[in-house]
Amino acid sequence: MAWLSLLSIAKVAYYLGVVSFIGMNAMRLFLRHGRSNDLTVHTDWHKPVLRAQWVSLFISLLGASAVVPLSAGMLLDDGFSGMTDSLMLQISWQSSIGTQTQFRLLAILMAMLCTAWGNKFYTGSNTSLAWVCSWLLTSALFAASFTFSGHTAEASWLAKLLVALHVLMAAWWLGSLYPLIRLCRLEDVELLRRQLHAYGNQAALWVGLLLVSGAALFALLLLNVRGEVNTDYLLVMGCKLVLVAVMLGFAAYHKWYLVANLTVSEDRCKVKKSIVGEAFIGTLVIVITAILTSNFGIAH
Amino acid sequence: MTTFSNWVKSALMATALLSASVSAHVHLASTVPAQESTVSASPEMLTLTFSGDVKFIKLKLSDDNGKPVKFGFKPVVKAAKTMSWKLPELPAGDYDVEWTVMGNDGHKMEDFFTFTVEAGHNHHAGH
Repeated sequence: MAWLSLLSIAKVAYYLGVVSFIGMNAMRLFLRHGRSNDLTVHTDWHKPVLRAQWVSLFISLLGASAVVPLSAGMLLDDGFSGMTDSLMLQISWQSSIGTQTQFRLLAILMAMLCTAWGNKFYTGSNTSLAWVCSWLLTSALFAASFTFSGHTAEASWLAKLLVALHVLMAAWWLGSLYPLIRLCRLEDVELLRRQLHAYGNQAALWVGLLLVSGAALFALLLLNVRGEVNTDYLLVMGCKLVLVAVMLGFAAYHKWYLVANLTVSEDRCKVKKSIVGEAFIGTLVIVITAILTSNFGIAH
Repeated sequence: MTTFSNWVKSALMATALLSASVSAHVHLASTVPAQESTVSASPEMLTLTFSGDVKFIKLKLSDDNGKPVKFGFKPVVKAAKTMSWKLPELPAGDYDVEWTVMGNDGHKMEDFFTFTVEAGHNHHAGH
């Protein structure tokens, strides 16, 4: 159980980089697209978001690198010595876990290059099409890396596609929360209201895709269970769904109440606090997803 | 409402048909000696067959006193559905076989089975 917990922690660390790279860059493009003469994404917003992105990518690198040694340790189950056992490391590396790790390390390396390259576009007035393409390609690599091991490793192409779409949309949503929290520091309340309103409209699309892909994937996995369905899996999945419902509640509250009533400077604090709450629940969703994919199979 | 529920059913059927695989972990399909069987003589080979390719990580054979029987098992890097190991002469008694494998999806699986070698036949089966 200790090994599974360590593997879950390594997964959460990896997810952090995926979420920040996809979501934070999506927010940059969103703000740039909606940019007008009265909006400047000032350094107060840019610097902390960029710093968070770099920190997340380094944590992600550590998490992705730890999976093969942790798997080796779990296989041998003889204390931490298994993590350095050459045969167990070889078995782990030459399995779907190794393939997934190679893919993940490549994606993180590309994300780091993309972040370093993108730095000059983040504050400038132009966005390079080549940079946008590299961001999309890296995001696709991140999403694809979720289809190599675990419950979807031997699933159909449709299930893999749904997993990738689900990951992309979830990262888009969760990764946009920290930039939104920082955006709440904008002193121009009317400008903030317009930006949050536009964000809410855009978010409806990806949250919709997230829910549809998640529901279809769950149905697909359930319909293809051979034997008994694992009730522990259903229980943890139920917890995840409750938390996602709470996040949706937060999102609806922002969109239709807080943002709609954002008129004075003090209201910014309310919006910010509420987004922090949503981000906290989002972190719990990530943790539960890591536990679910490491510890439980849908079928016995 | 009926139309909607028909649409949902059709969509679920379509996704089920489009998916080619089933969600179940690889499992131990058969063993020689068979699980919980009693053999009349010491078996020559220990064979484990799984429902899909696995990597054999650990295999421990022990007698009814818990004493391990050495038979030259080593972890295998290459995945296989079936693997066999030559056994030494086993005295009469109950035996536990504890196995640990890794499936193609990267999951570790472990379990055990038992068999009994009948008293009075201390020679390899088939000899």
